[in-house]
Amino acid sequence: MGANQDNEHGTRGGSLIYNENETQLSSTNVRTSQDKKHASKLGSSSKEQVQDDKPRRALTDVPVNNNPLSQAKRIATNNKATKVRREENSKPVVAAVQKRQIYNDHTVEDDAVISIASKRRRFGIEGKEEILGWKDLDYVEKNDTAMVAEYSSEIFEFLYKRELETLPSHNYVLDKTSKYYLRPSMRAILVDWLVEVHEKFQCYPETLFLSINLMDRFLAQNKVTMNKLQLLAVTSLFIAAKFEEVNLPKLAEYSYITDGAASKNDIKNAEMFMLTSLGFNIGWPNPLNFLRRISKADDYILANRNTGKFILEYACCCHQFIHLPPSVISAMAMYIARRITNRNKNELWNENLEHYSGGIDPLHDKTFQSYCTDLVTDIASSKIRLDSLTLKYKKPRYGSVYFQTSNWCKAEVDNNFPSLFSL
Amino acid sequence: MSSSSQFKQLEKLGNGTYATVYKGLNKTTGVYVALKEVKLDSEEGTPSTAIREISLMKELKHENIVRLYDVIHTENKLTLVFEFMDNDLKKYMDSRTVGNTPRGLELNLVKYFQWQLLQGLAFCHENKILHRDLKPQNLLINKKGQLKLGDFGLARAFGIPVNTFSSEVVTLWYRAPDVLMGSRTYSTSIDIWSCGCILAEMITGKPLFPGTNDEEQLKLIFDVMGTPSESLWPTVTKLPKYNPNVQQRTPRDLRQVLQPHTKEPLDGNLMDFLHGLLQLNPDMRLSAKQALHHPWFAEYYQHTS
Repeated sequence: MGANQDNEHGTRGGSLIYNENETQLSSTNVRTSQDKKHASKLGSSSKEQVQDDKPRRALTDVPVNNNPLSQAKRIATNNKATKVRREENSKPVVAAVQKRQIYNDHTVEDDAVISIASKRRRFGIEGKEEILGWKDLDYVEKNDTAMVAEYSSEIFEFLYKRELETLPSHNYVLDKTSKYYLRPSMRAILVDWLVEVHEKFQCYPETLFLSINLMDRFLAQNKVTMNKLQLLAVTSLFIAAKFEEVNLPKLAEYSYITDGAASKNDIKNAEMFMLTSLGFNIGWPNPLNFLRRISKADDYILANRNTGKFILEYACCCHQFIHLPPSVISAMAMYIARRITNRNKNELWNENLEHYSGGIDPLHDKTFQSYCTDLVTDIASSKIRLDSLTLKYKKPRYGSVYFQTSNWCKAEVDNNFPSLFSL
Repeated sequence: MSSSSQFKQLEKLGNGTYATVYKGLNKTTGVYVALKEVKLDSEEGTPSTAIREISLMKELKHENIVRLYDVIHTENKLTLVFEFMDNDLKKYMDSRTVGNTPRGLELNLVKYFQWQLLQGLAFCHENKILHRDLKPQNLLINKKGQLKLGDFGLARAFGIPVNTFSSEVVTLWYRAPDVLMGSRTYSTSIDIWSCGCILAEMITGKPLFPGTNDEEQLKLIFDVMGTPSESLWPTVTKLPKYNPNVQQRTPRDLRQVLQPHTKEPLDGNLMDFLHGLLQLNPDMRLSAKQALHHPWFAEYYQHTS
């Protein structure tokens, strides 16, 4: 397919001049040290010229709503609101959480759940792990310190709880009535720019996911003017890197990569404002933890994992799933990846996968199915352009998984999903 | 609203890794607190240590971990408001020194402190957090005999599998041999080694391996624990700073090393427990969870269960 041509410059140019009539995208210019020359060439296009005339220094004032420095801010260490405010969007989450309790011997409440749980336990005592449904795969790795097998179940219990506390409060991109509404294409430009800068900085994959989460959580409760959006994006990455990375890129590099759109001081001020606004709640269950967990039940099949990583990254960049917990998105990614690579010819899912995905049963969970359908449709249509992301996964370094994934998704959509949920 | 004016700043308690700590008094409630002040005039914005410490400690609520009550942001500094603790383990042990002779703690107290240390640490590890700077200075105690983990300035969250991290962590004396030899794939076992060093120090009143540089630190460890062999630690030769030419040592009897410095007899359970923490091979070290089930603690877990 012609669209599959790996045309780096063409794609890059596309992301620069993403055409949105009413917005001033001066702040989303993509400039990086390596392609500075190329970028300035692009900068000579007429649109760029218009933008260059804009006073960039407008960004030196405070990033968002209030002046972060005007007064001492109190950061409550206990943010109870996070737990309550998810009502509207939480149906699929609730389903997943209830399933999770099947595996949690201590907190079962519902009678039906208890009966399943006790049944499973009874089988467990008889020592027939096949009947129990899932195998303890952590035990196999008990001698591998990096897997922290001894603590895995506690850690994942904690992560499943924590992911609900650190979700963006609502999908500010889908909800047009939200006072923080932002057009999907705007967010796409931001996340795609983050993907590119993140790769240039050679940060850990975790850092990218965290920076997107920080940005979404902030945008879900703050109105940010157009010309501050890039400052917000770069600051999200700045904070995420401080949390995840061993070797930190310098503040000057962050400022440089915005091509003057955000000064070092802008970023410093925005950083404190963001940290305060998020109540310093930076720790977040990274979806890669969940993807690796599910991959364990998938025998760590490399093809599935590589494709899964692309779909996972795509889903996190895609505006439709902002309000979904990372564990659900990771399960979607692995489920679809397994369908695409077709390495597991005889089964769509199994008990191990269900257990290690935190209790997700794609074959009986209609909501989960509709999310998968939405995601496949989105990848097939590429209505929202994520050029840096697709470019990245066209590269051999990332297994060039873009091509197969995109073709498969298109075929599924064209033929009314023949194999997404059936063998 | 809580603001910096709500607290009366009292005497300086010490310097943390990246901040100054004062005693403070909450003027409305009359409760003492510890105020940790972080300067924000850094070239790189908010220190990553502060970001990690605050965000990680907010997740950690446990009776053996110092509570972070509040964070106050003013013009050029962040003030972290912590639960006040009377003392730290280092100062407490120093206060027991008679003349020039350090004295260890009573074994009953040693056991109680070690139990609390491991309770707090197990909680960190279950919440996917490595402390990475356990030492007597960072273990805070109060008059009730409670011990709590403090100073999470070097702590970090880990994923599964654990990423590679910096090997520039943990104060030298309490740094594990694998980390000293440049391992960056350490995990929860890094904190366990420190716990072993702290246990020995509580028994004798003096640090077990007081090296002055990486090389001497390893030498002091090998002098007592023996040089690592490939049979007991297969991957040791692959560590970046592994030195095959180091003088071969056989392990000494730890009891003979420690017993001269304490009046109370060191029993087999205690020595077995200490050996479990001070394994050269990180994979062989007890986990905090296992350690809490060691027979040395029998009286505690039989009590609680």
